[in-house]
Amino acid sequence: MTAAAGLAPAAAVRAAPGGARLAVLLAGRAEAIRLLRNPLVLLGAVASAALVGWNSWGTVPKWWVWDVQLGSSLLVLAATTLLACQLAAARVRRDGATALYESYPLSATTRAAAHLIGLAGPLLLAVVVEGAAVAWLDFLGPVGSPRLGVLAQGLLLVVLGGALGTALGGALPNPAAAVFTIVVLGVIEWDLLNPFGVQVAVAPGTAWFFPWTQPVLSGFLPGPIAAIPPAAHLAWLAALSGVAACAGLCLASWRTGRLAGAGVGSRPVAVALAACVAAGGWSGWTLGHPPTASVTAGLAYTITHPAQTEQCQTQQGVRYCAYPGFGADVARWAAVVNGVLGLLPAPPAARLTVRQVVDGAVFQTATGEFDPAAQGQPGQTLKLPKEVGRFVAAEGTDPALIPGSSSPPVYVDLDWSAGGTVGRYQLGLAEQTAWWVAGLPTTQRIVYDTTPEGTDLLSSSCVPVGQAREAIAIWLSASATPGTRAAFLAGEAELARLGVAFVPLRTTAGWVAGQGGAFIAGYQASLQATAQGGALADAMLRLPRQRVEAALATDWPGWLRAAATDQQLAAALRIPLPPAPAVDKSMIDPRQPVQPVCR
Amino acid sequence: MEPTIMIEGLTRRYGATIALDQIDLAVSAGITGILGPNGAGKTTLLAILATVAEPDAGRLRVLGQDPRERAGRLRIRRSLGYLPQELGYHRHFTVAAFLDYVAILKEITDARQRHAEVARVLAEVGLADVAGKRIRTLSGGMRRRLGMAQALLGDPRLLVFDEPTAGLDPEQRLRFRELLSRLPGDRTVVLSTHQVDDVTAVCSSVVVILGGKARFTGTPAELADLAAGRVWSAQARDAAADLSWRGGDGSWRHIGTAPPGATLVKATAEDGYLTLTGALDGLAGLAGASR
Repeated sequence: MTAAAGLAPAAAVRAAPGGARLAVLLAGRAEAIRLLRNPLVLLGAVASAALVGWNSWGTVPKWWVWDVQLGSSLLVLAATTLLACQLAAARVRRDGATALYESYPLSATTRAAAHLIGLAGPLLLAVVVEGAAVAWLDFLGPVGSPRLGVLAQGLLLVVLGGALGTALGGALPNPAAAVFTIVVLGVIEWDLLNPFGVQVAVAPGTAWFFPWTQPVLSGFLPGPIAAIPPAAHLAWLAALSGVAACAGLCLASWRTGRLAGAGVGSRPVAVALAACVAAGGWSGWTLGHPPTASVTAGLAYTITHPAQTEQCQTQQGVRYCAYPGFGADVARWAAVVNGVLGLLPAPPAARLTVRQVVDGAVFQTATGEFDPAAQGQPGQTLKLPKEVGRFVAAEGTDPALIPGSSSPPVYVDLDWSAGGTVGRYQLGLAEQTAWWVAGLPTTQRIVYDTTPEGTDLLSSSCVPVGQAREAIAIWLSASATPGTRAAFLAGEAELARLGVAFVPLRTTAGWVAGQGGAFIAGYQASLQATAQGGALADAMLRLPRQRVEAALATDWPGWLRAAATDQQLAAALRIPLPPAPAVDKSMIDPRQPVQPVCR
Repeated sequence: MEPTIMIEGLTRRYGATIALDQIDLAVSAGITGILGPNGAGKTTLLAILATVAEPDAGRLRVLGQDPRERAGRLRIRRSLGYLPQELGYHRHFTVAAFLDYVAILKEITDARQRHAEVARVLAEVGLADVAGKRIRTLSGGMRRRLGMAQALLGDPRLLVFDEPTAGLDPEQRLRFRELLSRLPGDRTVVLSTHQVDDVTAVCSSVVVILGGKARFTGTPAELADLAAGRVWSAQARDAAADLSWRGGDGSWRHIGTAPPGATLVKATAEDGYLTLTGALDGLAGLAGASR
């Protein structure tokens, strides 16, 4: 303490009457700045941003999935904000300063209001994270456009977390209360978000009580689904935030025994609470009801009638048909298709149509059935009709399913990659294109296969045993782009590492069936190749391209006939026919039906 | 001129325990010390004056306002600086940030004035050098001074200090006295303490609370007068004395009847307080000597 002669003059600092509201705002600003600097909040923001980066890396994002997923990513920031706000709101009680703060002009209720205003800090951080995420996803070349209402839901999640934390801090000063709350909510949310986890035993009708669920299927559908209306969900989150905020104010008032503290009266809080409860009731009722029949029927029609829904365009003689919003993907597809067609000694006689379809594998259940209703998650009240299951099951078996398609059809699904895995996606489309060129079927007959591990599903049709066109088709697809070549070789290496040569997964008399080279990337056409064809194509890839092209040009129509053999092609290339990998006898199941040879 | 604080029949109970029992009190501008043993009701009285506790009965006006009314309570708080007995601190705040936050809560909304005021009170309590340090790094005495600083923010007309010198070293206690002495004369300071010498040093009036009742109100000199003629000095201990202790010079100080060979000495406020608190058997009857 100083030894000055008298206290410095301070009369001028006396607060002016009416400054209470400004003081609340200033206190709120101070809380916002403290929350902005809070390591927990910063950590949550970084984790949320990292989640977006991690999940979007190497994909072509679909906005109707990602505007939802941005909210899911912000759950981490919401959780850390909850904890930080609980710590802030309980600070006075936890530090034993209640009596001191009660002596200040700003009441506990008003200070709680300041804490709520302080949520502007984490909200600002959430806006920055989401803004950066939107810019990043836009950089990746997304499909569709983000829905502002859904983006706002992500921000509201952070506000909800903060309001919950503030209310919690008003009731329970121990930080363990916030941690426990986060763990409980986290387990529920994680279970709802994770389609492979053990589901929380909640009925679909009550799942809307949980503030956030992600419709897992939406990424596999050709557009946003109306099963969870964005407006209702936005209102639901806003109402929950409002209820939590009002609870925080009421708790602060109740604890001090004065319902009407300075600055915030009980009546406005009661009115706000009633409005929030009403909004929550309406939005909850809306969310709790399944989508109308017209919504599901419309979505089912979109899936089962792509020819009537898609928009087609022709580039370099090839017709590309894509769902609305996927127009940007056409250039990606064209690069692959042109890569295959550019290798041909002569243009194909027929016109190729590349068509986008919803991949039936999405709806395939463990028993091999196609049941879109079985995919419903708790909280996801979308139940597609059975006709969707029948349609997507037929995609892989019925070559004439969709009018106006090529014969055999060439499909591409809704996914595409923008990163290091793009080659695998390209290879999938290149294989189908090359199969079409070679006149090999791209649809299969579904059979059940009994293996030592149990009964499994095997898609199989005719097998081009010893036919040169199979090796040519493999070579075309692998040579279409640098990406397809890399993916083909990497896939080969991967399979070799697994101890399976190209690719004796299932063996039967006279042929070896294998997976398509796309290896579960993109549309799962389940194209199969013989081990002999694979070995010959591999040898062709090691030759100079001009030498292969010259050999094929000698009798291009002839090479595409079933009668042209691998032996003849090897001779034309002036190489010995590579030996096929040995058949694993243990994999042969004599009960399997003998597959027909392609004619 | 109306007293700053007017109390009539103030009563406060905690369950079956009566903390304050029909207290009447008038406190005017200046420094008033509240003395009393532990549990006497000092902290309860100061908490009521600081509007953080409510009486069960009685009339109370502080700065001309009724703290039981919302508007009156708010007006009092706008002119109040309060240092509670047990004060927790936000350990992660810096000293300056804490005071700036408190200044906002005291509705000092102009940023320039607020920063100047924070600097002023920091200088007053001698914490300017640690303004940027986190509170958790401060010593106990420095934290107590920080508590005083927050009370001084806004230059309040009424300062309520509950045991402000607890935890302060002797030098800081003297600095605190100096600080109080430099307050403008129209300010009202009410402080409770166990340090009778603090009261005699700075207080213009003193109130002694015993068992929830105000047993004495007067000046420190008048408090000392309660023991006048009952304080003696002798060379040996007198077993008949109500209280006796040996001083640093080897002589014995007795309170009570005169021992043989003792000489009468001047009573202090501490003697008066001891007399009043009933620590002296047989003098309990004086407890009603409040004026």
